[in-house]
Amino acid sequence: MQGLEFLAAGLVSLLSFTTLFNVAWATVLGIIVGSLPGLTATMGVALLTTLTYKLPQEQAILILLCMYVGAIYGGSRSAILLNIPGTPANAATALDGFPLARQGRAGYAMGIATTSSAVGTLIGIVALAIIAPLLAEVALDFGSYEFFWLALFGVVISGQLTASGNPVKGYIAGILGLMVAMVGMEGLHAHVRFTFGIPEMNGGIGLIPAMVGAFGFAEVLTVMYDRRAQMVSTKVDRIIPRFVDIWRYKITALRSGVVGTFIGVIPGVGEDIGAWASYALAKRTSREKDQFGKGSIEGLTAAETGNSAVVPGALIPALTLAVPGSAPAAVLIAALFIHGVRPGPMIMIEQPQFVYLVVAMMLLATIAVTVFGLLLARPLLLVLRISRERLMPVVFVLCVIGPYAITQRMFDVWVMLFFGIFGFLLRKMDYPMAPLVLGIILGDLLDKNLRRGLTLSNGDFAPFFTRPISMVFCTLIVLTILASIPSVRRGASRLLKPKAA
Amino acid sequence: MSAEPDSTAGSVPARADLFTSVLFLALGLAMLYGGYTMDRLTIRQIHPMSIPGLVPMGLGVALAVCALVLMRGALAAGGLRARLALGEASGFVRLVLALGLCLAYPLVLIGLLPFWVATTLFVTAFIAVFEWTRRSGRRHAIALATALVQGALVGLVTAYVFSELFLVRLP
Repeated sequence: MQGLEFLAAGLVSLLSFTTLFNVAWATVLGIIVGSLPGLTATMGVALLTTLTYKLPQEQAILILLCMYVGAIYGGSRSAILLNIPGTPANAATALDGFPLARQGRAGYAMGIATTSSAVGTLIGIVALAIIAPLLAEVALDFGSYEFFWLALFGVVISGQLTASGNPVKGYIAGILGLMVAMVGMEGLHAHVRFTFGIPEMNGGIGLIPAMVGAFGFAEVLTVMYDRRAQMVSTKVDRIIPRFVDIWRYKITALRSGVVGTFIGVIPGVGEDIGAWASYALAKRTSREKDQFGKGSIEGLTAAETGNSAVVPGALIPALTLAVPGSAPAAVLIAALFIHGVRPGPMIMIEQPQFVYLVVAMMLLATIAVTVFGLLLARPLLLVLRISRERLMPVVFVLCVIGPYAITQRMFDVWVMLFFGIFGFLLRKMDYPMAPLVLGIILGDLLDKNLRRGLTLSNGDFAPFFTRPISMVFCTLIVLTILASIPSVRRGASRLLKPKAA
Repeated sequence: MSAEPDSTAGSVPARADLFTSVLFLALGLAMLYGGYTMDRLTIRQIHPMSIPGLVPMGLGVALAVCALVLMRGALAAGGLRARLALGEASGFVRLVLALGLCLAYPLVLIGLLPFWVATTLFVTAFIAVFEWTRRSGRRHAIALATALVQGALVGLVTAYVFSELFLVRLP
């Protein structure tokens, strides 16, 4: 079992003092970033990518993964104590976490959240270790036609599932992202597009400056625009959960972990959807569904297990297809490229041990999050008292340093500023950010493979529809778009619902 | 990301949607035009289906179609009749202040002053401006002092940590 060999080797290679030190501070920083409303996982990973890019490859990726896992967990704290999710992924956690805090059981809620996060991440890690190599194997058969459909599918499904009201807004966000990717030198003939005579645009719009802008600066503006929060209670009771409670909801946890992992694998659909889907499913199948929303331990478990399982799930397509399963995974892909790892189907051939190294890193991150989450519950409460006026300027300073750090061009800082304002406006207008990010990442893939495919087939569109994998993708895309049309949805539900007696 | 009832939660005024749909329609058509008039690279005798303008044209059409759908929805929701609301005034003021300070930092301060000085000034000013309204009279001096302390701390620490420990160049 070569996989297990690689995994063992990976774990051993990570057990050095420097590594464990990095795991520690990156995880704690991640928990802090996640718990502070206004700082999100994507922002944390994006900023940390820029600031650690000079570090050796393994250490940098490890730090980023710990930040990612820590941030998704950390958001549960402010969700429970402030009724404000620290990151969007923890919105469902607030529904039952906050009532528990009001009942004086905030510490217990945090304990449950910690163990649920650990369980969810572990389930996702198992899936990552098993599915990623298999998926890479299948993806080796992908030709230009399949990659085109994959890129289009990623943008479409992300637009459909992350748009809160109107799916059209999701599609528009995706198209805008794809358009941003059109700027610069294109990949087939080295022809420069849409640079309007500005030489810095020849290389295109950098993903990292755009992400730091859209998730960093835009967040700063959003936080300063919205009203401030009030902490409900600082009384923290027993934190370590009783084993009985964890065991009682094991089925819920397992199910939420699977749902979360699956949602993570879907391109661009991230932790927030993972949490909601797990929560909704748990509520529907629960024997205590009236407790949901009033402090149900089961609901809290479902939400936190679901959102944490998305993290490894999102890494599956990110590593094997270079298609991000979530927004932070998109930043991770950019980080991997910066550090010389090429995600994609070839990764199992060129660097198979890397995938298992990532699995080993995730294991370390999970252990660190559990340990620090339980140990530091009380000290971290102090962190939540920091006012936004003091926090936001620091975040913005990092947003300015970040893009400059990688390329030493002020142009990337201007890009960051632009995407910050643009992202803020889009968000206020109810446009989802995930499809935008996906569009930027997948634009090149879509563009090159469409034209390459057409060249290979000499202008014939038929292979796009007749090759088996292509047919599957194409059908999925058509179904997704059809499902977003209200009249189609109404007709379908009329057909599916039983007639009232 | 807050759970409090927010005016922007899924209820963007139809008027705003109408406005943006027109913008997007224009952008889509512009992209279509840009793709169509893009160099076809005929000199290099590339395959006609692999012209650089192919995907931009497709995206332009797609955006225009989506914009029209959005427009139709906005009109159906009474976009033409509704009035444009700018959101609550205090939020708007905070936003403009924050935006002004944030833009001044990279656009003005960094070019003129050493990094740590610019950062100190920015952080101090930011905290001071926003805490001004929250405290009264005598507290003003204390607020300004703590802001200055934090500003200097951030300026010096980031300059040191990032240039020495992380080996990252600073603007």
